[in-house]
Amino acid sequence: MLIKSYALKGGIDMLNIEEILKMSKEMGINISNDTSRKHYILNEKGKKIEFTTDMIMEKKEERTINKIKVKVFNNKKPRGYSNSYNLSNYIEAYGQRQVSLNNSMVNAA
Amino acid sequence: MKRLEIKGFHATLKENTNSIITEGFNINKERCNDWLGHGIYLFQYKIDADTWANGTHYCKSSPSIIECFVEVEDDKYLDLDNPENLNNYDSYYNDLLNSLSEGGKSLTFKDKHEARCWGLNIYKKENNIDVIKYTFTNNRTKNAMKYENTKFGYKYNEVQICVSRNDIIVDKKLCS
Repeated sequence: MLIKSYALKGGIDMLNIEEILKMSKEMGINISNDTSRKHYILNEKGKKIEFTTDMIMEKKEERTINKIKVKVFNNKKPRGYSNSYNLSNYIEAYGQRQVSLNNSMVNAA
Repeated sequence: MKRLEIKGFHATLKENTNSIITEGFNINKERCNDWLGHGIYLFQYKIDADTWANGTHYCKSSPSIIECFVEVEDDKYLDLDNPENLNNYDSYYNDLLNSLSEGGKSLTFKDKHEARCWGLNIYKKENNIDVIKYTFTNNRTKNAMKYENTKFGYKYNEVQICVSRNDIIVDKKLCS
């Protein structure tokens, strides 16, 4: 059985399903007869769930402390505002929150 | 056909360097979690190879870097940093799965790494691709070298090159 042709690099290549299945088997991928038109992946608990290509994305998060520095100046008081809103002349407030940075990849060989 | 010349750095154990330089790399086809499919992995920049070698359990006991010079025909080189190539590959992967479904076959991947490795292995074989290049976002080198956060909005990346055949690595030199 032949499937769609591709011309990624200017050439046309025909894929053969039998060859794909052979390669998949050599890689140790489980192949079954199934008419549901679904493919599967094992989740972290080893449970079989439906596979979508979105799942290939790497989503490893790195915990990083992000220090936020806020400066508030009060050298000009708007007219008509109560003195109770006055802050000290200079306040430094520090907030900490955890942010996720992009995925980091640690594997290579 | 135009030939491309590519330089890259392979991280390994010191005790492997002699056999690699004299006999070539051993391509492990049993491991099914390679990011760019089966092949010989190089970093474009030596610093990334250094930090990987010094950070991974596999070779941090005696890290060593081999500089490799690759020559590849233009039509056997897949640059996945090229958005057009990446988009085409995404379509290819989906169609591959759909075609298997149409044939009444269903795959079960062990994990997402295997799913990724599978697609590129098949693509490489069917399209005679000898080299794949892709840039991964990675803070490993930044962290290992204690680089400060970039103040200009750019992220730290690392460029990886996966070479499918020994014979297109035309020269190898021990770096460290």
